Amino acid sequence: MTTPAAALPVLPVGADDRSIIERVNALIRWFNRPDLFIPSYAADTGTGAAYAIAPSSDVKQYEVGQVYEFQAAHANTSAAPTLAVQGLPAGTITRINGTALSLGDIPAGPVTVICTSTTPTFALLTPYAAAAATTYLGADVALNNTASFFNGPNTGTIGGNGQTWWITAKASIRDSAGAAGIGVQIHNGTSAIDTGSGTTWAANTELTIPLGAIVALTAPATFTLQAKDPISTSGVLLTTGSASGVSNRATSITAVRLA
Amino acid sequence: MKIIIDAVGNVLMWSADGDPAPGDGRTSVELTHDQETALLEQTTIPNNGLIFRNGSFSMIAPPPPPPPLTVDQKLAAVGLTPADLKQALGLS
Repeated sequence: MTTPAAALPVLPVGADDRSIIERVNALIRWFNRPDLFIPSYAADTGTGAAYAIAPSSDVKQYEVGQVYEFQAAHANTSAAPTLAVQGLPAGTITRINGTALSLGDIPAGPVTVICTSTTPTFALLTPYAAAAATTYLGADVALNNTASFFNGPNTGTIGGNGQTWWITAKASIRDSAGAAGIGVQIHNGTSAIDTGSGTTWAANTELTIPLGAIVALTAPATFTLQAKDPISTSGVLLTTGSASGVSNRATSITAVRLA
Repeated sequence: MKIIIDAVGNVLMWSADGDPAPGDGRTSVELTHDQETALLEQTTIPNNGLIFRNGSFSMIAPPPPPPPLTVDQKLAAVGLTPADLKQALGLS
């Protein structure tokens, strides 16, 4: 790297202390210019399990506190991906608290890590990709079997091991036969993570039941809002509430990644 | 935006940002910008569901409003019977 010379005039013979101090401080500021630092950015040439960058041949060894920015060619396909800088030994990348990453915490794109030990180890400084989505029911679901839960909207497959998500849902229900007790739940494919119940007070009256839970995932999962009318076969999970004035938003499920 | 439709085009679910699972016999459709706009316009019109065929949306008409509740039903909603009312009014 070529560094331009500092354009500082020579001090006159017999310069006073103040002039000398000012000149020394100017030199310190010159050498601390950020644009004179060793480059810390490079495009990644490795894989989603072993990233590799070569920002500058001036990188000779790892030091705690070094920050490297790189353009990851792939999202991380391992919970313990490694990074090797300039041909030096590879070290594991963790979250800033030292815990393992989730798959996809490193996106294919810009990433920033900090060297946390000369072993080496690195911690991810770039925030994980935020994710939040709501799925609405688009068509009424007849609850025409008093023994069964019926599927409403679902989140699709979300998350990964080590991630924390908030799953919330609301179910709007009507029964044309009369007052009905309704059961609802959020199901993860194996078991219910949250349940609720309520009673419509007369035929054709509507009931909305909210649900919600925070879940720590150990694997990708799909969450589904389910409803059951154990009283009659005339219950309906509604796509549109009669009183809201807005259609197709009466029943929904929402997933928000928290960590 | 994605929608999940069944074999005849009934829109079973829709999500602006999510990727809901379609399930057996159902299809996930990624909407174009114009189709997204059309779907959101439909939600401002009273309907009881949407149908997506040949790239266009149509509505399922909302059901007629239910008949007004009878006095018996109104009383039942608060745990009373007509006999209770008669007794309270001194009519029995």
